[in-house]
Amino acid sequence: MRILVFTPVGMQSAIAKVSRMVVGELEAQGHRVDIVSTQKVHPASRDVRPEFSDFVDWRDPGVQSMIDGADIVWHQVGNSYDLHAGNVHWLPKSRGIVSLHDYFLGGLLWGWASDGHLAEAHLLAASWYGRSIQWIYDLALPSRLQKASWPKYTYSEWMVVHADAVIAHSDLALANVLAATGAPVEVLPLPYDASVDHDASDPNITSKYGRKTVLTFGGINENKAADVVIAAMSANTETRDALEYRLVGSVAEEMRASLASLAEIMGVRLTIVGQVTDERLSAELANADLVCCLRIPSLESASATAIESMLWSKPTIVADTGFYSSLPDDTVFKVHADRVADELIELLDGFARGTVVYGERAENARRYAEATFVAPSYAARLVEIAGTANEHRAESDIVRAYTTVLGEWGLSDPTVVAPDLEDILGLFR
Amino acid sequence: MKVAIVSSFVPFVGGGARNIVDWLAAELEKRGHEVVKVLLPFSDEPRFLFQQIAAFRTIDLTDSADIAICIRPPAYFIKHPRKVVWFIHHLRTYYDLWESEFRLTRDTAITRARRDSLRRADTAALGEATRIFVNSVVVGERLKKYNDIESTVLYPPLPTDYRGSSNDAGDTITYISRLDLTKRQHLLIDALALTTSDVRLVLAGKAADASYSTFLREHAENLGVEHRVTIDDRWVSDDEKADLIASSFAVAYLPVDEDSYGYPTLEAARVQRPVLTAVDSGGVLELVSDGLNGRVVEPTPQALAAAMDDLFFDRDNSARMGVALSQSVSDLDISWDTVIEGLLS
Amino acid sequence: MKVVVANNMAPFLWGGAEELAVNLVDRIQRRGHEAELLRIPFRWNPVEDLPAQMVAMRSLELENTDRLIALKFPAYYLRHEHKTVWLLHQFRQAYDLYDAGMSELPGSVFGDEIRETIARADAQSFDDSRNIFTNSPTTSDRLWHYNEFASEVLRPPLNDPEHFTGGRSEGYIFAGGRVNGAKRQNLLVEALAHASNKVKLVIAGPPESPADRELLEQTIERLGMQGRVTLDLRFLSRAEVGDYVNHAMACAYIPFDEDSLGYVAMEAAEAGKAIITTTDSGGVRGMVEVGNNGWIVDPTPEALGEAMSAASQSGALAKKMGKSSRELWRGMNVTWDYTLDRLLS
Repeated sequence: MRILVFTPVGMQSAIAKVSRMVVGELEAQGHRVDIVSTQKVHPASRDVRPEFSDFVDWRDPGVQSMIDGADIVWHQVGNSYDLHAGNVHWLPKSRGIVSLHDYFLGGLLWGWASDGHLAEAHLLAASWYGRSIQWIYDLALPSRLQKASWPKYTYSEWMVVHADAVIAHSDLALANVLAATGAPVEVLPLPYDASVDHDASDPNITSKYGRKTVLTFGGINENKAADVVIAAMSANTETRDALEYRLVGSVAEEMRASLASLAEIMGVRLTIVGQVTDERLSAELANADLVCCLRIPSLESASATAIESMLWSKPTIVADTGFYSSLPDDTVFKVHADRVADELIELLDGFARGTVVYGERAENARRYAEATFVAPSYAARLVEIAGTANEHRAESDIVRAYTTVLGEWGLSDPTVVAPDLEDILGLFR
Repeated sequence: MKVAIVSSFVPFVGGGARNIVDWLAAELEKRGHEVVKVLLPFSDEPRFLFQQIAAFRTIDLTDSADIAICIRPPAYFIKHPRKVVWFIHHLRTYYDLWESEFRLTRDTAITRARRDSLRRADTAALGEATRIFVNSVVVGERLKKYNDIESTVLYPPLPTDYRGSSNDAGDTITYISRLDLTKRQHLLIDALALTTSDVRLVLAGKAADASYSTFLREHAENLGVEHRVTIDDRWVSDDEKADLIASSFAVAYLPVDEDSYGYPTLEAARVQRPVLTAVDSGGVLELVSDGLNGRVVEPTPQALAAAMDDLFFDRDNSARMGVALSQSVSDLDISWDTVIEGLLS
Repeated sequence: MKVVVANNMAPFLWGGAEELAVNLVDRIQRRGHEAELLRIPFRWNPVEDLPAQMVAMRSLELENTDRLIALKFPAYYLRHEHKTVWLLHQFRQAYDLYDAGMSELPGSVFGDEIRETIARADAQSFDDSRNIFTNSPTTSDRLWHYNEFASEVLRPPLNDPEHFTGGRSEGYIFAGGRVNGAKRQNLLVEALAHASNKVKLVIAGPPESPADRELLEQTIERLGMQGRVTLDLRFLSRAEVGDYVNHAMACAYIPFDEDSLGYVAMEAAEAGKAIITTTDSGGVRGMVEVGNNGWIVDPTPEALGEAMSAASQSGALAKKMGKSSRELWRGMNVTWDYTLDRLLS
């Protein structure tokens, strides 16, 4: 098949990295893939991933013809306008499969508005959300999004409505996406490329003195429940003496101080490492005996750290909720979301005493992660989804036409007057 | 009865479908029915295909009419408990013309899926009809092949006030139809150059593309037969048609693979003139058989010339075949009584 | 130019707007353009079906067309690059009828949403249009009041002025048009009882229901007006109507609060006849300059009787006033030439 991919192509882009992995697989599976760079500024060749060196810029007049001749059109969409200007321009015209890397696309809308499309963006914001673009953009301030329970909209609807199918990478706010489009929506594990090096080391990681290391990494915030872990580790003398806790990743000063103080009171040996390079993170992972990936509440997609931990075949503790529930029971250690403290104490205690056997589970984790969070299955599924989406083409054309017209009329709540389309849609199945 | 005739159209483009709608309406009114014509615009632009179909679907004539007769796609998507379809053609670029140069898009997994969606929807919408009729055997076969739907042939007649004429037949063979490559008037000119008789040709009808009528003129000159051919690039009225046919001894109608026998064939029958056609002309062959009521030959200048000379030299036979053609039309029940009885049955 | 005139349609119903649309198409053709009438079925019941029909209108594609002239909701939702609206009326149930408590739209959340939807969708279509004309000041006022769009009043002209050339009076007062309660022909019969014996009345037109006929007959019987009233209650041909108007002494038209000038009054003026109307007849009063070409009186039998007496008094007076009627009417320049100049500008 001929596959056309709209994606960032630069070395710095994590999404471009994912594209590279999937495109490589698609080509290995025998498809012909063409790349359209969606970056706002035409990238210099030296900044472009070598695999994408023969990309076509989204402003190129030949793009329409490429769209017309494609069997599959795939859009990699994220919140950065610098990286996704081309998606905004082409998605409504090309349709296709949308891989949604960020649920919130308010920043993208803002970027587009600022790039000479103020009137249109204003109209979109008003008709979809009854808000100004500025208001939507401000919503992205980290503290706001985290603290709020998910609002009614994900602010990706204005893009998602054009998709023939949507691929999400975790089921966070999935309901919102489902409400925005009649197209098939599927959650696929994000292809992950972990460079696992069990021999990685760093002189800054000091000797353990016989303790086992529990590691939590990623942005250290309330959500990571480090305080809960510290408390659990202090539950009895054995655990306290047998384990040490390392926190790796950016941490706010206030948080650092409060955790340090808590650990001291509780008698837990805690090292707060802070933000690190990729190499240092590898060393920390190599050093860890147990990784704790708790998320309370499960607000954000934390799949990356759990996947990474599993690929490193580390015993991984997760809360039994959201994305983590989907992991097979014999690959991770799940604690019930309502009984985290008690179950964590029990688990850590068993760990400390050596009564919990974790080697096999860790191996299962590695095997599972290698089979699942990898490009071949993503690529294969992408092609299958495209086929399903094609079958629903007519329905999505119709739903989109209705949504567009109702949107143009700027109704405060189009669902009230939206007609029941089942009668007409049913004819196409 | 209150009859709604539903069809699609492109503004300012006439043609077979619009004629059928108008003539059917007139005939129904003559028989005492109340008729309303529901004509909705339709564009063949692929991007708008499904949203337009959805628009047609919002038309619900349940409370307005006793019966809804649907003609050109996607008219049959409207809602009515007594939907009768007189199917004249598919949206052919998504069906038998998919593999031809007439397909409106590239051939990709996406466009094939769109095509398949349309076929499913057509099948479903047609499945809602209480009766399905087609205008020719060819179309019926296509409906069966692609949508697995059985149908009954209901041949479209000429309007009844179309008058016959009884002039004496002259030395002309007349071809009254759009001047177009697919109608192959040029083939007749080729044939004319090979004839041994004094037969003359009249080619009358509006050329959609003026360059074709220019080509015809030049072609006749090149072959040295320009004095035996009259080329009239203009729309011809029904009365004129009758007169032109009446003053000729045979009518030619040899399009490439047309679905239906074409009104020219009926026009010839009305004036009792035989029809000269080709083996690959399609629906004409449902009415015309070689030697019975006309001549059916290979679409080559040689074969056509021979047939033209035969018709010229044996006037008695030509006249006999002309009468036979008129009889064939009756035999096939090509009449408005039959049509209306069928549609309203 | 290729001009499409778009109106909505309630199948099998035919009224003034339908007549106007057909005449508009005819007049555009007379001017040398190509014109087609597009009539799109529209159901206002159940209200739940309104949004889908509105969206459907936006989903249709009008190809091969240079100009679109749309007359009513939701026909003016059609998209076209060069759209002109000649607003006969909006969906009044969402606007003034709702305010008057006479709407079928529910006073629920859904009803509110529908009204909001219509207002916004109307705004979009009016924004899309190059020009907005309306058929009366009332329509323009409503459009401004509810939607804040300015418009130019373009009165629908008489469709067949050639039938109203005037003529010698045969001494009767003529009351034409549809016969029903709103048109109040019965009041004219009652007025006759207060008018001088000279006064004769002719009422001619199709009764809306048998009850309307019965009412007139009973009133005539009750008041003993048999010798002075002629009833011709049926659908008349245009020539027949013209005949009545042309030979009248004066014409009476007293509908209750109508928006438009009234074809009956326009016909009278075209034929050069004085006009009798009432203070509450609405737009008709625009046809009369009191003392100059007619009477505007209270809607009572006494006042009307007096006016009818005055109108019948002197042939010379009637003729003079009739001449003024025609002059006044001509001065309003409500002609097809002017109308097309504006619509096609």
